[in-house]
Amino acid sequence: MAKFEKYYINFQSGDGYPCRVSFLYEGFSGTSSELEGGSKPFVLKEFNSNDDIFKPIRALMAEIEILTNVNGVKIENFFADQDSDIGITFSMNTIPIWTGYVLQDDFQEVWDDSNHYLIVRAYDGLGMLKDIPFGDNGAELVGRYTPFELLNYALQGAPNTPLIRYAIINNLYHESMTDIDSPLFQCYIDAKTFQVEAQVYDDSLTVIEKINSAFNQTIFQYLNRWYFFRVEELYTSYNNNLIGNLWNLGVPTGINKRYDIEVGIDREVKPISPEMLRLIQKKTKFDEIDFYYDQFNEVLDNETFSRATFVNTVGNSKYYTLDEWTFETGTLMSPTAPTSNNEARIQEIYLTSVAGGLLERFLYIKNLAAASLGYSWVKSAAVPVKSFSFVKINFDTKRLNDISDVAAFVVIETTTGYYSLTENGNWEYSSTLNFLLGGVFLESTAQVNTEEWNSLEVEADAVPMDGMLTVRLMSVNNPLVPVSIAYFKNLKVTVINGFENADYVRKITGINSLYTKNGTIVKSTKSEIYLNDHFSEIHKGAIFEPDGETLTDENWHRLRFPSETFSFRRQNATAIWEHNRVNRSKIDVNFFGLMWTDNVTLTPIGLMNTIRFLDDDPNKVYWISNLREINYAAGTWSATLEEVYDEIRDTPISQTFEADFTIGIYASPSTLPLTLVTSGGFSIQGGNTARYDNATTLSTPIDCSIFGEVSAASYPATISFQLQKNGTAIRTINYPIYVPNQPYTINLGATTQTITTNDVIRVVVVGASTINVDGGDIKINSPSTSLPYDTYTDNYLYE
Amino acid sequence: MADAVKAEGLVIAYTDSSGNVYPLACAKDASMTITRDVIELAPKSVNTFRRFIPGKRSFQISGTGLVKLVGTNQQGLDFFDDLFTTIDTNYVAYLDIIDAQNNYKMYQFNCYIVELTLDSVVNGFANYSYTLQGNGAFTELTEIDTATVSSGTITARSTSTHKLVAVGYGGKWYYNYSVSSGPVINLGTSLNGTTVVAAYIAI
Repeated sequence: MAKFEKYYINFQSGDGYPCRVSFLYEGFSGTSSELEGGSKPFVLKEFNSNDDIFKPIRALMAEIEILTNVNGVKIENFFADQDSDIGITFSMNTIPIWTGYVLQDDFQEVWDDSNHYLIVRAYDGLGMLKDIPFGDNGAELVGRYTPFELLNYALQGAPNTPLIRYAIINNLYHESMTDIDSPLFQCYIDAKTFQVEAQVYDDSLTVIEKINSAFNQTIFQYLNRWYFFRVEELYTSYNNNLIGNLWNLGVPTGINKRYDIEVGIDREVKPISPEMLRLIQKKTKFDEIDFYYDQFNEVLDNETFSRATFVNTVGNSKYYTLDEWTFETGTLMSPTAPTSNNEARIQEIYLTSVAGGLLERFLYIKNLAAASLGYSWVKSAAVPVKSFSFVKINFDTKRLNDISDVAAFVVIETTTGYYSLTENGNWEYSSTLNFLLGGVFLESTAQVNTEEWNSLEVEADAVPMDGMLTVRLMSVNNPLVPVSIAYFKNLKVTVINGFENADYVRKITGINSLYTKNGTIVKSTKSEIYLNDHFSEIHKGAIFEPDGETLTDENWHRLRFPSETFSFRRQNATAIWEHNRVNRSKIDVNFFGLMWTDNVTLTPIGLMNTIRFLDDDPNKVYWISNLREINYAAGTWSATLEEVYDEIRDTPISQTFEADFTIGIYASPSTLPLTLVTSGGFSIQGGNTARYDNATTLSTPIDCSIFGEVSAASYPATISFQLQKNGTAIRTINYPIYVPNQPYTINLGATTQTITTNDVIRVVVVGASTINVDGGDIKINSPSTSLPYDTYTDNYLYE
Repeated sequence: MADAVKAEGLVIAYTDSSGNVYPLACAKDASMTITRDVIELAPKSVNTFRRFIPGKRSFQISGTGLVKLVGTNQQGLDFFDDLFTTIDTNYVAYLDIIDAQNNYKMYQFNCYIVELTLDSVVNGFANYSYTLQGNGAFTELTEIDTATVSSGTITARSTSTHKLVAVGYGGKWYYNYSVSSGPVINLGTSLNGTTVVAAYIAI
């Protein structure tokens, strides 16, 4: 089915552009009818009215005013079976701006037969996602997905999805990524990050919030397409463009432009009364981003046995095959497929009949009598575990016949062999897997009846090596009895890292990134993110590199700062800190004018736009933190703006590398020692060499002067003072001496030099027997690539 | 040099339910006010005088007349049947202006009657006063012919394509003429040699 226009409203915007509201009905066929718009036929406003530029979701809702009477349309004309059956599209000057659905529970109409207004409200579909469990159209997602894929799944049901026309402006890269494509396509997240319990996941809106807030990103509709926009991209001079891509049917088109609207009394958008109200967004004392170490609800895939495929009903029982586990027999090293003599099923036993209440649910593995002893088992998918972590396994089991035998094999496969868990919690090593290796046993004793449910629990010693953990739930194939059956339920596997275990200190539950300013400042920010670089593949929120296997490390950079090596969490904190670094202007505004031009195209305004007051505040760039209302018929809009960039305060200041020659007496040939005064992008290597560490290539002269006394083995002698770059002299002064300890004052300054990353600068003295350094320094000017950061710390969070 | 427009030359007429155009009968006075909203600009740096940009326009017409129940032309009271009978007619009305030199302007517009007052005093004539709310914009009429009366007639436009609105001369508009076969408008031989203006609307 498809939607077709059933009604439309045409009107002229207050600034003179034709506008059209279309009501699109699912499956409609026929001629579209014109409706009369009211005085405010189409108003767009932001659903979340908080003044916050970091809102991860910026949903827009529309209010449509229709003039009607007893013979015209009424509320019933806008009812539909499905909440997404009636779509709204709005265009201005034939440019599509917004698509949404008619809200089915928010109509308003004066109950009167005469002419009156009918208010229909519409939303862009994001709010509806709150009631949709995350998944793929109801199916559970298993495995690792890129953030973009996860966002696409989470947006299912919203207009303009699946995502084929969208825009991404997000340039936060891990070193394993290329900067050709968005990071949203280049890393992976396990879907279990969003698991609440077995088969129960966060709602789709929460998933979008978690992904977006982790990337300091937001989503909104602009020009009828979804924009994924990392807010931090705005922290750049108005002389720089925003970089991203517009996607159409899988084909990207580069975004390399700015979205600045020029506001002024004689400019494209004009401030109108009531007067603008200026406020201050106070700088903060602390900016804290917390990340908690939450393990997957199911360490093993389908650990709860909750995912199973229905087979049949027999009596008061239902039977299912177990999903995501492998049913095997034979040997552990060379398993074979079970035959009809073996059966693994989930059984649900109901009271009296399957219409009754559920009494019990468990897994059984059944074997018919065989000629010799053997085993069949179900094997979990392998999960990675780290050395020094602790594995704990609990389950309930019983057998049809009261016999002793192995109940489970818990094995870690490493690069050098296999470690199998014993009942005592030890890890027993073998180069091959075999039934003699370890195992958790169900022993029949005078006190233990194996025909009744018994709880087995093993808490293992520290894992000896990194490896892949599997659990096999075992059933013996006993030739002495016609049928042998093993039963299992309540399986729980826990993998605890050393610091999480914490027998003697408080347990660590997470970590934060914290920026701290000096002085007394009351205001602070604190928020939580749900994605991070991680030490574990089985914890929620772990980010994987483009190979989908390797965990990301603390090596993220912004496109504008290629030499940066921050953690993902610090990048998040930095985006917030940078906004809260200084007091920012915040302005409540009322504007006339709904079109702006980038000097090429006349385009309707929207949430993508930044605002510049070229007459009144030309150094600052503002962004809309709350779009209060766009009244298209009046041609006016009102919003709260927040300063996101100040050319004066936010431009990185150039730095100077300065190192003093370390005072002392040295033999020659000697590389004269250096003591760092200010970095300016350089570091001192080996105590005597300045290495340039930044990515930006410098083109700058080098100041270098030195003084002291110098001696030679015989006289007269010529002492060679050399300023070297990468071992090659770029300036040499040959200084003749005639007596011991002859004073010298040398200017080794060099003309403009090109200095690239990892270039080394040093001063070498050749021909002296001893050289006495009394003073001097090297100075190199370097444009800074980042702001001077406030004190930054990573801090563990304790229970 | 143009003469000043007299009241007779500034007429508000309307199209009745039969499609005929009439001024209000027994009108004593009328006034039209067109207003334009202005949006005040509010920049940070404002000079002594405030600045504005234009907004939307609207207009109202009000007037008074004597109440008459029967007449050859449309009565004001009939015009206000809307308010009595609760019919909401979006009237097609005209603002017709002419001076003694036959300089003219004619505009068409739509309006609703929004207010009517009838008042009478013992031993006096009953009066009505009204207010019309303009609905939409003005359209200037351009289907206008200027002709000199000869043999008591002027050539008219075909009734199949045009509807006569009014004939003007001598600084007044006349609405009691019609188009006869020919098509001609019979004005009478007494007007021979007089230059008249005939305004039409296309059908």
